[in-house]
Amino acid sequence: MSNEVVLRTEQLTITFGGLKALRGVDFTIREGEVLAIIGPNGAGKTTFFNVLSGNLRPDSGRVIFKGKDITGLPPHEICRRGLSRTYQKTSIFPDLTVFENVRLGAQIGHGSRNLWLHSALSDKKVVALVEELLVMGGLDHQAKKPAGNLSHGDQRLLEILIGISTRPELLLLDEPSSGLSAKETREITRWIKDLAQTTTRNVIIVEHDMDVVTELASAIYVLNYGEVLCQGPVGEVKSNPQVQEIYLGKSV
Amino acid sequence: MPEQQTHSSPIGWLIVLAVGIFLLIAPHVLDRYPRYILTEVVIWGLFALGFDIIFGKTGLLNFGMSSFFGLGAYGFVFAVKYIYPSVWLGIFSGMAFAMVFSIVVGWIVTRFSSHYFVVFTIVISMILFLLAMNLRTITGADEGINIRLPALQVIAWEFSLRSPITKYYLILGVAAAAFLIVWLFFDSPVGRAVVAVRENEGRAEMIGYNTPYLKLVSYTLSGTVAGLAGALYPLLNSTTSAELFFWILSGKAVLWTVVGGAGTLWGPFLGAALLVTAEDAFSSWLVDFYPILVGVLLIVIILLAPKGVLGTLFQIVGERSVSLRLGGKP
Repeated sequence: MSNEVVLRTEQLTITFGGLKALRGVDFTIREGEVLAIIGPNGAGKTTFFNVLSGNLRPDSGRVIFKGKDITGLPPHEICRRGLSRTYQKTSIFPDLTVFENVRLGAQIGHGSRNLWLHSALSDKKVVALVEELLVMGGLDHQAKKPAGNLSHGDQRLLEILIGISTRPELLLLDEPSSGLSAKETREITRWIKDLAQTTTRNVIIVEHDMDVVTELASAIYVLNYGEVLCQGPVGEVKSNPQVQEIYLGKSV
Repeated sequence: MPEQQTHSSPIGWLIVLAVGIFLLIAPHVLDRYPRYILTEVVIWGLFALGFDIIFGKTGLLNFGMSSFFGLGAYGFVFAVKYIYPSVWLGIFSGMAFAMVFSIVVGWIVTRFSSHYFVVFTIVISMILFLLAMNLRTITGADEGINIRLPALQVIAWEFSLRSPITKYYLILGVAAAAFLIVWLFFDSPVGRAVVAVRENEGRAEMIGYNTPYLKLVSYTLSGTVAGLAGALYPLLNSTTSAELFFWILSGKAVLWTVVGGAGTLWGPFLGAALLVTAEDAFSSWLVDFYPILVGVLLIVIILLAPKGVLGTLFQIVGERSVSLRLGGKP
């Protein structure tokens, strides 16, 4: 584990009213890692993502991304520094075409000289990147459809394509298998695995489905009541009796 | 809204060409009164285009568009009357009035969520209306200010603006230039990012867009275009009055845009043309009851074309071309 640290958090704490959603979370992800965060509902997983992506400002603690403190920066600024995320509840641009959905992120990630004085479609590099991503996700045949008309499974894929269209160095995936059938879940898992081995190598994934976690992640953080209960390689965490008791329970 | 498909449709461009030719020869074939109505429709269409930018493209319901129109009109009149008698200066001044105002107000209101945004825009336009009504010595209140139009200078040439045909071409040219700029803007990466804000603001922010800034850009463009339309009003009518600030005018911009097709940019012009001519025709036919007919027409259009005439048309054409293109492939 001598790889460079991509992102780490120090003692992240956030309170909603009287509820402590995160209590002193320390977290580290290194270059080339896929980490999973698991925990029961309300454990603070999505809140943790919201803090990393700038949607929420922590009460205390710091988020260090690529050696720089990004705590409290607005989401667009954090995205431009190379951190991107997806949502558990699909969040796309429904009335725009599938192509445009991906292109909007690509035009940012690909930094064209200026964003004002030329036709967006004249930017060959951006268009090429979008086509590449659409082929990768198998959505190229549906490129001209309004995104809202895609099937739920394809929308989940598009969600991730939008997430990686900005060419992030760190991708946060919030329950990518949410609402998918067993077959679709297997497909998207294989797809994410490919992705993590090629373009987007650093991934943090929040997931309920332990098969997905086992397939993708090298290590797991377990959150419970906003605290890191334990962390470690997948096998170790799965056999931790405390984890089995509070979360995995009967399912493992 | 299927904006991508419509750009490349050859039939669409043929229609644009036909309308363009009609607009160029119209003043020579139309009588005085219909020519006046047509000139007015160009101004109203441009005004509604301003509304379409903020509503149809950005998803923010600005119910105070009359502010910009009134400021544009007074900006023109003040410049021509008190500073220097030049039509160009007047147009520029009207636009600048509205632009400065929209930057200042936009900076504040685009920070609020949608409901507060609507209320704020109404309140601000009502404040301007009351100010304009009370500052009679400056604005002339409901009697307004009349001006004598200077001749139009184009490089070395001079044209008298007593000719309604010259006025028509000037107004059409200014409106066409403004339309072209707006159209190019929404084809640019920034313009498309503005549409992303309409579709899903949170997501737009998460893929790297400073959405409050984009909303301010759109608000300013919207206000400047509406102000430009306002500047053309005294150019056509040689007068302006405080009533241009009244909310009814804001309501009309909403109606014209929604009927023509919000988010289409062409729609506001079509909507203004349809409703202004319908209102005019009905009112000469049924003096007392014509609002009922206009109402019925509105209901019929909304039922047949829920996204407005052009919005619905583009949707049908877009779906058909998608199914044609995808027909052979799985």
